[in-house]
Amino acid sequence: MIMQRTPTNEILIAMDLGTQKMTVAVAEMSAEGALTLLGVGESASAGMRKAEVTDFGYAQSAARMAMAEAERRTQAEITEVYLSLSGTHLASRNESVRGATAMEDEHRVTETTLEELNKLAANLPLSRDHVILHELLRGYSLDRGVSSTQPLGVHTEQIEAHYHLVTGKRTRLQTAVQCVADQRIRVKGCTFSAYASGLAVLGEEGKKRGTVVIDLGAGVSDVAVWRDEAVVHSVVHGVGGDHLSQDLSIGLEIPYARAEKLKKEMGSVILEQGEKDERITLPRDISFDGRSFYKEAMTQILQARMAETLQIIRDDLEEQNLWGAVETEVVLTGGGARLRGLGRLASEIFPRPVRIGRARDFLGEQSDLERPEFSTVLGTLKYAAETERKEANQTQGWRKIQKSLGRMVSSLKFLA
Amino acid sequence: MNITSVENHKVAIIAVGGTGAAVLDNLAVACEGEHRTICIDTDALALRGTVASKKILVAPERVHGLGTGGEGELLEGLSLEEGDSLDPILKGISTALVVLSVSGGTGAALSPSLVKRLKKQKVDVVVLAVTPFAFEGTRRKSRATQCLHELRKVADAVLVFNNDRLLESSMSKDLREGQRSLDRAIARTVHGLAHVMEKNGMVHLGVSELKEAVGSGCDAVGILENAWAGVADASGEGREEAAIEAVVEDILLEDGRAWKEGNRILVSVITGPETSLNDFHGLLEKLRARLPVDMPISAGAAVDPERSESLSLTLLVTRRSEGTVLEKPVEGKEEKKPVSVEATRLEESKEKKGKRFVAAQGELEFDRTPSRFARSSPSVRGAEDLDRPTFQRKEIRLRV
Repeated sequence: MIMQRTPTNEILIAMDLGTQKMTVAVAEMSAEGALTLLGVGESASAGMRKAEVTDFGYAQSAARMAMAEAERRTQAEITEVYLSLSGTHLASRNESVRGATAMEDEHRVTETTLEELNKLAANLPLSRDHVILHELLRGYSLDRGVSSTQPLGVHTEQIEAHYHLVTGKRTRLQTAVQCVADQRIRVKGCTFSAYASGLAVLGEEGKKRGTVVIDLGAGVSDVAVWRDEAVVHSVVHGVGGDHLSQDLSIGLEIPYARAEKLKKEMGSVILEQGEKDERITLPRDISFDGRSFYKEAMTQILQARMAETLQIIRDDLEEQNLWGAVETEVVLTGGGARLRGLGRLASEIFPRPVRIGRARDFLGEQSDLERPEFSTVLGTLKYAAETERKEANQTQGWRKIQKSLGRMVSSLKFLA
Repeated sequence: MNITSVENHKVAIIAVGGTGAAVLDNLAVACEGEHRTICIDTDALALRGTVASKKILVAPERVHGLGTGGEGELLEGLSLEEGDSLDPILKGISTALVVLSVSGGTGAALSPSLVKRLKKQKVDVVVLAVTPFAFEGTRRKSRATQCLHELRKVADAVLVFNNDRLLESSMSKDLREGQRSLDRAIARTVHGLAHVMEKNGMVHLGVSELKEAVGSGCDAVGILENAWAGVADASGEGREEAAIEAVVEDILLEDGRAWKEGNRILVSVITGPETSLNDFHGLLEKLRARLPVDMPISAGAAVDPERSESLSLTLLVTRRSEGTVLEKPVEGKEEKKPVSVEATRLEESKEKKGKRFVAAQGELEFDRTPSRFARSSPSVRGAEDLDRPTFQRKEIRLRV
């Protein structure tokens, strides 16, 4: 049976073009907005490095396989998707745009005022080859004083809207989108991986009080700082799980694929008591002579890389004067968060409570929520749901306008 | 390349930004001999690919090793006038030939402060600058004018090569090849000058001659273009005539503008040990006779012991115009914004405007083995190449 949209249930599909795997998540959204996860399809990635497409043909095939797998698992027909995007070409900054309310509206904030501000933000000057991926609203200031998140209907002469802008190189974003669009799949929307991961793993409290979400992916590490229910800082560091595997491969002189397997199966950044003299032996096979080394060597390599990565993240937060704003916790997610002992190592670098993030607020298939590597794709589903809701409201708003216009026209006819 | 030996050279070729790096690459491909080369760039991937003996990544804190893509504004407020990492690399240089493009990216943004630094260290500085094409727009032209204005204040001599020359040559149908020709010509010019200056050749040609050829400092040429180059190699019997014919007919001189607007000629000759002073004078006479116009010629010659019966000739036509008033940089027009709505940046960024910061700088020592990340954008923090294993960079001894 192929699942189709009906007026009562909405099928939403999200896709994450990851460096190590491509994932496609399918969920059903009820009229009330609740999401029921139907399943996640995944396939090994190819043609991707550091979350960017380096070989278009390979990346396309991998994306096709992930979609086929998702269709097989969920029986949903995939015709349109929401994409999550990342890469070191993405940049972010906080911007404010200012406007004035109209006298004829008695200086009340109307939907038009907010739309105008949003248009201004969307047209802020950018580097020549960059485009805006997101203009995430952080809040409003009214008459340069009172802060508000819902200013509609409020009386004020001046209104300032604060945004967190995420921009990216046009060509690289286009390539990623084309990877899917070329397969006659409509890309309905795109989101930034760091933002999506936060949507997946944070509750309302986490979003309100300063929280850092670190998504340790295979190609890159996405970081977002949330405060007052908005993203106030985001950054992509070009270091990820692939670097761990490469370091193991070079340090232990083993093939990359073996290093990757070793990291997944036995990788740890903490050496437990009694493990100091423990040796690991990788058996020989047709293309590999086998290798034996101390477990300590593996831990040294992984610990050095992870400590450096986390320290880079901490340094960046301090440079942005944001570390003090992180009041609640540090949430680690992404495939890298599975590394044994990572929580303990992270606690040493970030003296705040550290937890491994799991996706939340989904009905249905719960086992997939436990996997931190699915945070981005599941967060993208939440972004999709949010966007669809907004669009539906706008459509309703338009219908209201049409009705009132209709009434106006009939009354004019009557008067004539 | 023997890096240790070139480090002792007194003449250094310093490339700033992508254009400079391209010239260095041409220098390696098209010119024999070793030079002390330093490449300074904001693009780590480009640096990784260049052949310079020293590679300095700058401003990673601003552009994360990704380069500016021609947007010099990204480096606004940054300077190379100070910073410890460059000191050991610039030590011992007496003459610097700085190659760059002034059209807007890294070269335009950082070269004036670099030249100031070199001058503070009492280094003679000759700048070889490439200007943007006219079709690149007024913004780039204004940036080029601004950069040249600053460079002329500090450098001993500024030679300006105009990209538009390519549009007026037979290369206009294949701009990529034309661009390569210009890069190659500048590389050969730099090679010729460096060789003659370094070896203190048979006949000397130095910064003072170059200064004389284009004027010095602020009083120099106000127009943009003041240098045209032609290069040629020839060997065997009749090599002098062949080289002269080829150099005068060089593609970059073919539109005749050099002969019309230039008023000085600098010639640099690299020959084998069999050439005598008389031969050299004979060569110059033959050249003078072949030139379409009569102009004062300054010449330098160096002997390369490894050459035999071969000749490398560089002809640099320059324009000197005394007392020309410098063109004032064109200020960008400010867009008028409606009174009721205006876009404002964060207060922090307002505060940053006007201040000068030392751009982070550090020597890159990239892993020479093919890396898993060779085809992706490099990950750089500070001057550290994060694509190299951490344990190697931190020199952690593994208990294998």
